[in-house]
Amino acid sequence: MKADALRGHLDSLILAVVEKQPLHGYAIIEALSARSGGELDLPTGTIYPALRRLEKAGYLDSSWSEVGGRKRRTYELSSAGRNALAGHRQEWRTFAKVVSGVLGEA
Amino acid sequence: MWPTPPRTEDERMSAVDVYLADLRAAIPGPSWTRRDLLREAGDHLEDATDAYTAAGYTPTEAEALALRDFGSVDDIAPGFRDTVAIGAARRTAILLVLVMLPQAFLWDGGLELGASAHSDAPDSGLFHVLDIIIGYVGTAGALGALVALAVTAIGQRWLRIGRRTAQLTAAWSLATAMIVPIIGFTMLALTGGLTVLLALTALAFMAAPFALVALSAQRTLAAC
Repeated sequence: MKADALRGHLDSLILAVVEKQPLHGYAIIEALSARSGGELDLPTGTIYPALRRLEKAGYLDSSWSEVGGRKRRTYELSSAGRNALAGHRQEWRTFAKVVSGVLGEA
Repeated sequence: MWPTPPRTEDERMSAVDVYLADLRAAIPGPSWTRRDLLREAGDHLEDATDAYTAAGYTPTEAEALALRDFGSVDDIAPGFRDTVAIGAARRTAILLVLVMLPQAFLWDGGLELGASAHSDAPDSGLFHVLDIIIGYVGTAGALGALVALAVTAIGQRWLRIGRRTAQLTAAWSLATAMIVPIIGFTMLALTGGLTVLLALTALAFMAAPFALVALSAQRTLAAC
């Protein structure tokens, strides 16, 4: 899959990986890579401006906490973020259904 | 002069330290925002290096791989610069709103700090013109700051903004911060009753706060 197609949904993907528990930046990248089967190939440093943007938009809350004996900034989903994620999922299901319907089977 | 002994392993800058120094140099702007981002970047690179080391790579190889994955300074710096600039713009907008809010109360309709300056003679036509202008400029300035504040915060849910938005916010704030006190002082001078005490009051409650806004706006422009 073209990496650019995934990059366009980076915000939604970030919200999804922190849905279950707070994670710090490196763990978010690891989760994105694992859950995308390695398809999400982007410079890992690009995650930090995205995290800041989502935090200022009110979708993520951040705090400093100890992870593995080190202080790390962790991010968790806010209630607005949960609502946004639910909305993105619905949009994606509709999109996927429409495209599948049009493209059909080979 | 004795030759300088070679640095020990610990004293040489690591590849990650060099990278972070280069990244820092590529991100102008307020140091506190930049410091936070660089700290997270450093933490990330430390974790990534540890992961590669645990996978069997030498420390040097692990650092190189972690840096490769993170992205070159040319690739990463633009996004970091946008983040720093937008943060600076948001703070400038907040400052302008906080400075603008009490001005009408201080000078017109509330405390009326300038009331003592009015002589028995009616105010000149120019005074009235400036009075109208400062009203519009002040209102526009405050409204613009509120819009900028919304755009740089919750607005990022729907808008992709960057340094141009930050530049516009800074320019708007700087213009307001310069025009309002200039007109205000001119109006006080036109009354014919400007005393030293009143001038000091105007400096404290008008010039100084707007000077802070102007300084913040300049720092935002520097971050862009």
